[in-house]
Amino acid sequence: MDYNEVKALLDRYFAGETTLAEEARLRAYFQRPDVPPEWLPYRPLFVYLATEREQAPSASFDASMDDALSQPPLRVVWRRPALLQRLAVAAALVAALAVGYAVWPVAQVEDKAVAAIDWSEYEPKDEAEAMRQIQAALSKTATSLQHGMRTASEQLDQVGKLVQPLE
Amino acid sequence: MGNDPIIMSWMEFREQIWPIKDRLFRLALRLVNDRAEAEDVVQEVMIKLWQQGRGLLDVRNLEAWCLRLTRNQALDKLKNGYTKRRVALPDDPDRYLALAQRPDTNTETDDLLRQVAALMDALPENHRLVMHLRDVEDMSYQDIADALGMTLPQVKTNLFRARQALRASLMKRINHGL
Repeated sequence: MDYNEVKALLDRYFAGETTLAEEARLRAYFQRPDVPPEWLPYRPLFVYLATEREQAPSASFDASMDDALSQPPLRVVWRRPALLQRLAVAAALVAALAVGYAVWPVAQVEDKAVAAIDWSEYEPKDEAEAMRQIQAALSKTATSLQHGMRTASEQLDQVGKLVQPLE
Repeated sequence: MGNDPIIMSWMEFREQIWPIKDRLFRLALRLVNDRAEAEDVVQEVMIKLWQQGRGLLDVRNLEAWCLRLTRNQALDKLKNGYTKRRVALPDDPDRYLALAQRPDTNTETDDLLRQVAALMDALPENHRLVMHLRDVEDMSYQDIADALGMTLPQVKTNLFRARQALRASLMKRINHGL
């Protein structure tokens, strides 16, 4: 590149108008030792930019990345914080107890009902036994009624005795 | 495993990501100014990318997307307490020493290189990143816009201002005999 070409490129570079190819030519030009004195202030900039391109992570970094990533990625599992885990366990216990209380008494009542009452034992086996049971029931009813009549008669007598002196 | 519709094989991942690994590292380094921290940033980005599985293959501009992830990761690191930013000499001192010992350079040039590094670090973040992606990574304006979430005019404006600021600073140093 001749002097005028470099000068024009420099102006366009600092105006932000150069192409990538032109910027590469400028970097190459400023690597030369025979840069005119008036452009020496720019030389460190282009040398700096050229050396920056050589930056790379260390070899140990590459090795560590190989080790870390050569396994298939683990599926991400959301872990609850400890407090939330405990609360979840407590809530599950409460729910289980509530269900237990709701179901357990019904089951027990149903079991007792089946075991306590067997109406077939009390049913009369034949007609004669049925008549005997009816007579016994009527007899008991009649006794109760007679006792009631006697009691009523006695109470009426007492009332009569109390009322007489007033006459 | 290679036929799994979701899980990407290690070789597939390497083919996609390894070619741009150095570029991601340089961008992270430009932001956090520490090689170990920059490697941490890239490692975290790599793990995130690896967990994407084959979804990576559907990304339209994978390189720009990875660069954006790296920038965000580096900025998060800076926000979350990492503040050890070396301004005077951000990179490996040995690199500059080796450069200074080359036949075509001298101590004065080496010193100027250190000053350029400091000037670059002093630029506003957007200016610095745009100039880095253009002048170090040779990226097109469109790719820079995609990577940094800017419009094309914003990219051009930031690049213009960055170069103008550097030019002025370099001339000022020479004129003041620095």
